[in-house]
Amino acid sequence: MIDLIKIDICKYKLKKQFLYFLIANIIMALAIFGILSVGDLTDSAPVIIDIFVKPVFIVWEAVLICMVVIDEFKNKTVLMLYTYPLDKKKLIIAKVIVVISFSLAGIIMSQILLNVVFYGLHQILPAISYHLVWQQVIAYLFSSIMVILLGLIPLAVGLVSYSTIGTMVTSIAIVSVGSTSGLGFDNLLSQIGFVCVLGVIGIVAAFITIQKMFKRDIIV
Amino acid sequence: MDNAIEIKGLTKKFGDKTVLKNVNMTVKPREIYAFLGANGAGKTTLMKLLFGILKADEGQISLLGKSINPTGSNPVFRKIGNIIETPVFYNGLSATENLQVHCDYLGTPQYKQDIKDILLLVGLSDTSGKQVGEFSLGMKQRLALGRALIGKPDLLVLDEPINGLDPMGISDTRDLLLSINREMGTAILISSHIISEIDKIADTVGIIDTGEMLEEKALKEIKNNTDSLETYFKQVVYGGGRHD
Repeated sequence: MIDLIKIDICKYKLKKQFLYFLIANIIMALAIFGILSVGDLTDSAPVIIDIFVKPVFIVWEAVLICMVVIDEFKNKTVLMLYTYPLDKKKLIIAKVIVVISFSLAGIIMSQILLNVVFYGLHQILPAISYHLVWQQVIAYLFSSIMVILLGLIPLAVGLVSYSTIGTMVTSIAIVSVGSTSGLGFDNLLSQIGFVCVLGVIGIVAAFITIQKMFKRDIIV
Repeated sequence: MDNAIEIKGLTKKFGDKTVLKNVNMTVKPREIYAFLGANGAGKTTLMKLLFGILKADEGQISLLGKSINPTGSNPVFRKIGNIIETPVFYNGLSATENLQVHCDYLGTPQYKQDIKDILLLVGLSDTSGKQVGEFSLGMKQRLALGRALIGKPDLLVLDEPINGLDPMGISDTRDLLLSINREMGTAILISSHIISEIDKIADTVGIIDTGEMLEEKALKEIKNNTDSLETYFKQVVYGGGRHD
């Protein structure tokens, strides 16, 4: 399994994702700084960081799903992949692990990086509000994990028809609903109950879809 | 010595449509078996069934003496090179990188040292740094053949390997397949619409039509009884009133 994961990381040159990760974080940092310095908010920086990071990484995860999983079917390379002396289930599960690992590492690293940046800014510019307690850290960590599992819903949708468009539209729909349903910054993606329910739905949907996929023919 | 391919009573349905009906096929060791049939006759479907890309409704398949598990791992695939349906690659990678990935998936990284020779063999030595997405169909077809040859396979399963090749490419491929077969004893199952090419390389010919295997015969025997393979093919497929 480790070997398969390594092949996928090399094959898709996923180390390049680190560059995009940095760019995304710079953009998020600028936007959060703008909001905190201009807006008349009662929320402190960690709350705003959480609100920015989650939607970005749901879409990020969908991009990885398209690149690592769906494109194998869309570009028919799965026809070659299935002729290797390997368990077909392991091939697909390795890809899902790659997607989850990169997305999870990305969201957690992003949370840490932006929090460090804004904690530093708070020391220099006291006008930037920054309060963080351990309970919040645990809540953000847990909800970040659930958000990545929630991000598997687009995988389930994409695998039904091997569609990158379906995958991306589903992720954007989740982000749109999750980010705009609440009032102000009290949005659904910040509600632990909401992300937990969708996280469980995500993992169950992905599991069922992959199970079904192996029972039917691969028609690409 | 085990047969290279042994298929017994293979049936495949897509919904209500039966695309392969009780097909039996034997590809002997070291022989070139040509698989002929019109478009939609069932050739590609049969080749996909060999590797578990499609799942059979009935029947048994064994490759190089090993029964095939359609979902699990099949170590015997390591000794089988293939081109199925169309030459597919990771378009963002170069020819060399694609072949390296292939070696990694086969679990035989030691074959990476042969990649340069393989590219030379299929006439792609000067393109090893170019992304495969920029290749023509003919170049992809050559690269697919090169990939199939990595690991010195005991069996090649080639679905229309000369599609998209120019006349020189067709001639080179024919010579290459013949030399691999004669020198390494590699059995080859090849499908093609170009009967004149099959005529030049095959030992045995199998003719399939609308999912039914109509004939399996040695080419020598066919040539003794008929003036050409093309005439024989027409007699078998159209002579029985199957397409009136």
